[in-house]
Amino acid sequence: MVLLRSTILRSFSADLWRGVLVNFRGVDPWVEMISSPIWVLGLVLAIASQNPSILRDPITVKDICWSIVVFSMISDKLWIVGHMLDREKRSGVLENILVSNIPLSIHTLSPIIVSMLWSLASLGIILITVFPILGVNPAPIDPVLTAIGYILSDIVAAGIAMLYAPAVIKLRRPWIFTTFFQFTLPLISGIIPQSYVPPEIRGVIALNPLSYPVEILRRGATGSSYIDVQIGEAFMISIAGIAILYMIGMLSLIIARRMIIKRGV
Amino acid sequence: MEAEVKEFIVRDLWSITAIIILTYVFTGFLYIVGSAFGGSSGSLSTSSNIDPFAYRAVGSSIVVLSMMILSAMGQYIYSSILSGRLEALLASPISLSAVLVVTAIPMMIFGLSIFMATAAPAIYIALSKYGVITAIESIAIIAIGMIPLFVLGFLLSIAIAKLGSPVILNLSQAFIFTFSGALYPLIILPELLRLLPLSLPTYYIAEALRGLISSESQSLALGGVPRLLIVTLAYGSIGSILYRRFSRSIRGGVAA
Amino acid sequence: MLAVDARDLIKRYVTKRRRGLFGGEKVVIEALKGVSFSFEKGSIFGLLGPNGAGKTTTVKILATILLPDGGDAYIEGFSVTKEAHRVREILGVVFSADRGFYARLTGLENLIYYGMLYGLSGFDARRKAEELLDLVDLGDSRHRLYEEYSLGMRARLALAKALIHDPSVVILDEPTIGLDPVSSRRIREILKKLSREGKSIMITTHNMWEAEILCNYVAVIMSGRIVASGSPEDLRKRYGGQRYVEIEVLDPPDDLRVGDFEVVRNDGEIAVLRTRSSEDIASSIEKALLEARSLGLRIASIRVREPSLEDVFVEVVGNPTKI
Repeated sequence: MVLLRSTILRSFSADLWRGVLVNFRGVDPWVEMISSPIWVLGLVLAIASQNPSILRDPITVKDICWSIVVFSMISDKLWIVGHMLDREKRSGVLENILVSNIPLSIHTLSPIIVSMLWSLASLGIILITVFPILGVNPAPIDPVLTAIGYILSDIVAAGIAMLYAPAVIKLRRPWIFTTFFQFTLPLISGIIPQSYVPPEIRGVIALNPLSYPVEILRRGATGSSYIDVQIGEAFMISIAGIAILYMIGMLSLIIARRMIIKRGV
Repeated sequence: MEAEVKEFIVRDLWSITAIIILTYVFTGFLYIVGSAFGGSSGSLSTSSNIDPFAYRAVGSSIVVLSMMILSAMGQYIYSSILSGRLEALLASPISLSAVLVVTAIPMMIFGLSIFMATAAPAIYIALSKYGVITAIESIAIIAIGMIPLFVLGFLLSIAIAKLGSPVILNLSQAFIFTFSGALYPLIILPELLRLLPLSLPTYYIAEALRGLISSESQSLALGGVPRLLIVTLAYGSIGSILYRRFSRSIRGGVAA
Repeated sequence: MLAVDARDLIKRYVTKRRRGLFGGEKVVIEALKGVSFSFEKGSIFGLLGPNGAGKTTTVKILATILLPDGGDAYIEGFSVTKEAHRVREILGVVFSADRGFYARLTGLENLIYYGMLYGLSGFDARRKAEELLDLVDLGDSRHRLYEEYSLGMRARLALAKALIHDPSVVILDEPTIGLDPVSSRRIREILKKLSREGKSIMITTHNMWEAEILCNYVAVIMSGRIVASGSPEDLRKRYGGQRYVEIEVLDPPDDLRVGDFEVVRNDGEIAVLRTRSSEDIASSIEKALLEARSLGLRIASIRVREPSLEDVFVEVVGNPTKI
């Protein structure tokens, strides 16, 4: 048992080290990261154009900006974590991973951390560029609550992406589904005020584990409240959501490994 | 050529369908989030009366089309170098310009079909308000507008080939997306940044199209079409100068 | 003890043959139809076959990343279906010479990573990686990114990766395909060295000459079945046909005819004549020389051409265009 634990820890740290090197080495990743604030600015302006007068209201603009930050976080997870196994399958790495004794579930954990670092770095750039350009104060109202909400949201989004990863290997054109989820998942994750949402969709938002950490993030960042829930309750639901998501995620990866070995890479 | 287009469409029919559906998903996303924050009765443009959804459909389809063309053309030379296809092309009796044109034609047909499907609300307005001729004119505007987009894609392709890495593709697509001038009126941008959309063909395509379908007059409105033609000529000239320089330099040696 | 013992391996793939835009029919492909072979510890075994014969499917089953639909295989006594965990600890695999690594990591970093996946500490993984990079002549390129490696370098790195956890059995799927002669030779030298050190090696290839010089034992697989197996010598005797005595003559006449000899080539400057050899090679050579001299021919060289593994392969597989 001790030997197994040390092998798993060693594999996990190897994957983390490898993930940081692959995703942050050289100029290319930083050039990619610079594009994040440009996308965010474009989305915020396209959304605000529905009624350009709201651009004069910094509180609303700040709300929109943080909604798009959540959108960006979800996108990062879907593409980085969700497509990880597919990328490795195409490059031949997956065969080498399968032939070692590392469980796929452990192998997927470290890219989650790496993608969170990526999102965090992007957030930093967005806060110092997009917010000032739009005339908005980037400082959150409650930094501690914002940090807690952000970290929990990131973990939940990554958990959802982990659930999605095994499906991506089987799909012929996974980019279609990922793009679809990229736009629909944020809509049911509490990025828009619930008053605008039809009652049936409110039920879906209430069931989505991502809605609660996003609500914590929003209250900390802007003070706005979109979902009728106490902070403590939102926190407990977020933790429970993480536990359930990751348990199901790990199980799905164990099943995925068995399916891959049965049908071939 | 006909066989290639047919094969292209049959093989990629699911991709074509997906792009059309996803463009509507994207349009819907902008509309829903925009309405949630700004109200559904907000006016999109200070200078035209146009249904917000149609406005967004035009903008989204132009942006999606531009990013598709940039992505396909932008990687053309780089992927040809990596695969060894460029050397084979240079050694063949067919000129590189002919190959580029032949490659572009199926993409243009593909792009026009996608545009018609994704900007259907706008074309429907043109058809119902002003008749077939205006509807055809709107399609002709996008066909002309694709020329400077292909030139832009080609310029990007040269840059990627020179840098030896496709990393700037994402950056340029982000730039086009945000500063296309198609997703929102120019007046929304901070003053300093308003020059950026004015340098891109997407702004003129969007202006020409929206001018056409929002005009109060029932006569054939030219709107932004003359400016689009000027931009097309300008991009075409820049493109042909750079192409001549590029084809001279590429025959000097292809580095993998 | 047997290094590898494969028994009646069966594998079927279900795929869809598309028709038009929406139609399609299910197609079952039988990749392996009861494949059995085995070889002793410390030997080099070659699995030969044309493209699509089932070599890669066999490798994947032995490597425990593909489950057979029937049969089982044992790597040093451990079952690939029931004791996959143990098999992976003692098995090193090269699936492809030019894939399977992270492009943005250096050769050294890639090896350290895989070493740690196999349970080595960071320090041990680094030490072992440095050792292996020197073994495969990549010491000078250890700090270069994988994406900058040539095909030959990638193939050698793949071999190093298969050895990172010091396995006792190593399986390589077409390890020298597409490589230049220098890189191919280096890989073969390393494999021979590993075999001398007691490791059991299995390679798949359709390069008969390579199998001939490297392998102690070979099996020929065709359409999912083993059609011949044995040592190269045995196979040559059984399937390879006859030996020939060949004579090269200078300045041959255009209408050159010599007794039982077949004129293989005659370009006016050099002619090659061939005749079947009897069991007694010495007398066959003497007879050939006498006949040639009696006609006043200028003899440049004489050789005995043994049947090759390629002859065996062609005979057994039946159609050379399939190779």
